[in-house]
Amino acid sequence: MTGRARLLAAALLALPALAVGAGVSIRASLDREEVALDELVTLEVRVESAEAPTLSLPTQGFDFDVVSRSSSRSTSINMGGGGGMKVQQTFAFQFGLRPRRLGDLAIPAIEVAAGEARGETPPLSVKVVAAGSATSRPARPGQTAPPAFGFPLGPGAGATPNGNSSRAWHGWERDLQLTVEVDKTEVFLGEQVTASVWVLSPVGVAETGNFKPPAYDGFWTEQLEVPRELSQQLRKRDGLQLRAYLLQRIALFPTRSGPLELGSHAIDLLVRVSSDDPFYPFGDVQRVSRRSQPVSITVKPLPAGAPARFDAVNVGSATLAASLSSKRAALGEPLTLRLVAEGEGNVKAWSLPVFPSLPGVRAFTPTSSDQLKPRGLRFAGSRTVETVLVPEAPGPLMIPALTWTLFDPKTGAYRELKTGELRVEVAGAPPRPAGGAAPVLNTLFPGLRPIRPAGPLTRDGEPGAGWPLWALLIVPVALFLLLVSVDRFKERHLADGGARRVRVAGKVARRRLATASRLLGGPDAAPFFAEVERALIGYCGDKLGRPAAGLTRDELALALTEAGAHPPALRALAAALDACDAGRFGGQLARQELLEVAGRAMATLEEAHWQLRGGGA
Amino acid sequence: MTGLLLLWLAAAAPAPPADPGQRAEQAGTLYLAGDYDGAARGWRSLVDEGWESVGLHLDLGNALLRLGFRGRAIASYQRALALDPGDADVQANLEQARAQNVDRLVGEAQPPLHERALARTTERAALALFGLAWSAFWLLLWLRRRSSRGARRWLGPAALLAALLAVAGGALLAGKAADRRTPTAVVIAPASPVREGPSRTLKPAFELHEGTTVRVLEAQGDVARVRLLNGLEGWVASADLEVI
Repeated sequence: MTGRARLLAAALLALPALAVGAGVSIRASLDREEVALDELVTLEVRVESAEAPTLSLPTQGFDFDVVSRSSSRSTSINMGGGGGMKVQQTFAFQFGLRPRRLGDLAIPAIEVAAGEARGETPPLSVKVVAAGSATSRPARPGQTAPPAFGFPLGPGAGATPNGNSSRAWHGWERDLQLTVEVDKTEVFLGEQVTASVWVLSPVGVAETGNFKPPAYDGFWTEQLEVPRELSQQLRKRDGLQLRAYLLQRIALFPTRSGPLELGSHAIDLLVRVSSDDPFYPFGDVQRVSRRSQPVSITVKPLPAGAPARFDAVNVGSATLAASLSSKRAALGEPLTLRLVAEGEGNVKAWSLPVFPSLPGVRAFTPTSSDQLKPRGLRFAGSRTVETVLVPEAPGPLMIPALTWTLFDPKTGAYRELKTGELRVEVAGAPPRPAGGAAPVLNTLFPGLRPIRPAGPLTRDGEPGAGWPLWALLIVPVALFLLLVSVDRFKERHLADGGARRVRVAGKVARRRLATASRLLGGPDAAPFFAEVERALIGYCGDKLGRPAAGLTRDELALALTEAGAHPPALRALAAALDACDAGRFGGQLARQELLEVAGRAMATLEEAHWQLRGGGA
Repeated sequence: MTGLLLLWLAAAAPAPPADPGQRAEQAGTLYLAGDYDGAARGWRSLVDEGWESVGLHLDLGNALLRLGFRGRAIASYQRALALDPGDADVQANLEQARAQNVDRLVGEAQPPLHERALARTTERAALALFGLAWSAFWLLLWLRRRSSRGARRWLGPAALLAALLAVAGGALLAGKAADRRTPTAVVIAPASPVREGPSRTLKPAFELHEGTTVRVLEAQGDVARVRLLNGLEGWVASADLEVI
């Protein structure tokens, strides 16, 4: 065991004893003794215990709104003089409190439970003064509540368990805020309010999550900017350098007049807190949650004197233009009237003028489209309304000027925007289609590709569900099996033929010898000798499974020997063949005698143990 | 509007000629004369009887589009494309009809290769590919069995290639079969609320509008569970859909 391992083992053995001796205490403090109505006071509760404690904020007599809460835990190991170690866990809870009323407010006792132990903090008090009053007075020394549960903290009481009261509480919790900034707090109905949601922090923010915007009741909202990544700007507030992180920027358009409230936003943050501990210089990451204060916005109704056709959704500053897809058209040929309003405001809600009913022209239901192009902090874009018009009478067609009334909140006055008059020359009747059919009005979808002959019609079916798929699956396999079977049958038949020839070789030879015997008395001896030789050579060929006619005597003898014919049989065969040659060319041997010699040779050969193709003997 | 359309479609045409080709031609004459109602009714009756061709579905789609039934027109064009995915006229008209779709799907992903191949292949083509490759595979196996050693060297890989093509054809056929189980449909109502469950008492989560294509996953009574091309799912009224 190495020296380091021995040290570790000793430390592990000592830990249970240290845990038993650990004390539990509760301390509560406020960061200030006086606070303005629009400011926050931070309540910190520190609990030293072996188990994680739970806190229950009072519900009765608690005149504060909890706008933020955070918690942290630290562990310290103190080496005592008697050779023992003391391990302490300290849980710190911070609550950002916003007072609800003026006067001396009390913070009732807060119940704390840590495992089996129960306790509570002593009551605290804070003086609340009117909003706007300077309240930089720090907490008085006595405002820190003494330890509870009756367990003294021992040496260093009054400081944090680390012996360094400034490490756990730098004041960054108080200055870390979620804030909503609006460019205006008093607007006209439908006028844009730009709201920017920021995190202001004296420490670095590592991560944000669980962002909960309010319902924006009474507003039409449009996104202006949502940064993909957190990026910080530097700001100074009350002489303090802060990091500002933009969470989102939205355009709000009030939909009703009167006082409106932009509710609280909420978010969870992971912040990097620096460390003063020389033995732990890497800092710490803490999770905190923040809630913004509501913002009040006063919405004024639109001023009196609006023109008769004014629609309350038309608020902003814009231009209006009208155009036609063509200045000339044939009778019945569709035209598109395009009306474009472009500018700043709630573009998607704008209600553009409707094309009036005119004699000699048929107007179809208009379609609208929006193109949004925010300009910095202002929501802007264009709304286009297209109306298909079909001239139904030849001659000049006049599209009258269209009027659109808009309320401009910058000037606080109504503006009337007008398009110019448009003129279209409508030519006479369109050409009639061949075949005398009536003219077709291409009113909708003018670019539609034409109909075509229906072509050969088929009954729809499901090719995969009927017999074709099964047929396709089975037929090739069946054909393959059939062809293979035929091949095998043929091979077997051929093999059977060879074996059969081996089996019946003797019979065939004897039949030929019988034929030769019928030629005994013939005038010509040549057919007789040829038949005898054919009987002998043919027998050998059948037994060998290959033609034997072209072989020399030696080759034939060798082949027969390899096939299992014994020497007496070979000698008998050679004698018979020699006799045959002698009889054919010399005439020294009688035909009857040759026939007997050949018969004996056959008999001897048939006694041979043939090892021939087909296995027959 | 849907109910009126159904009533209108249900009205019997007066003594149509028996020959479907002649009836299609008559509907075409009505169309050219500007009688889109009559034309659509004529072509629709043929489709309802089970007749089909690319031209028939294209013509019916044009008539429905001109009548303002954009969702039904899109469904008809998609039927035509199912028969011939490469038909340029149908593709162009379908694109025009879809250009007015209200719904813009966010997060619509490019379909994977096999789904694109499936969309561009008709069922008949898949069947033909499978049949030819399957037959060729067994034929090549038989030839290889009979051939000399030299020929076997190329007959083996050829049989393997045919087997792979047969597998591809089989996969396409299986995909088409899966398509039949979860068919494509088009929203034909101007707006159709989408709920998170089959109950109509649930608050609609969002709305679909005419012309949007969905896939029908299941049906329960008069509602169907659908999936959009971007993966969103919900329940809509079956009457608001036309299955292709």
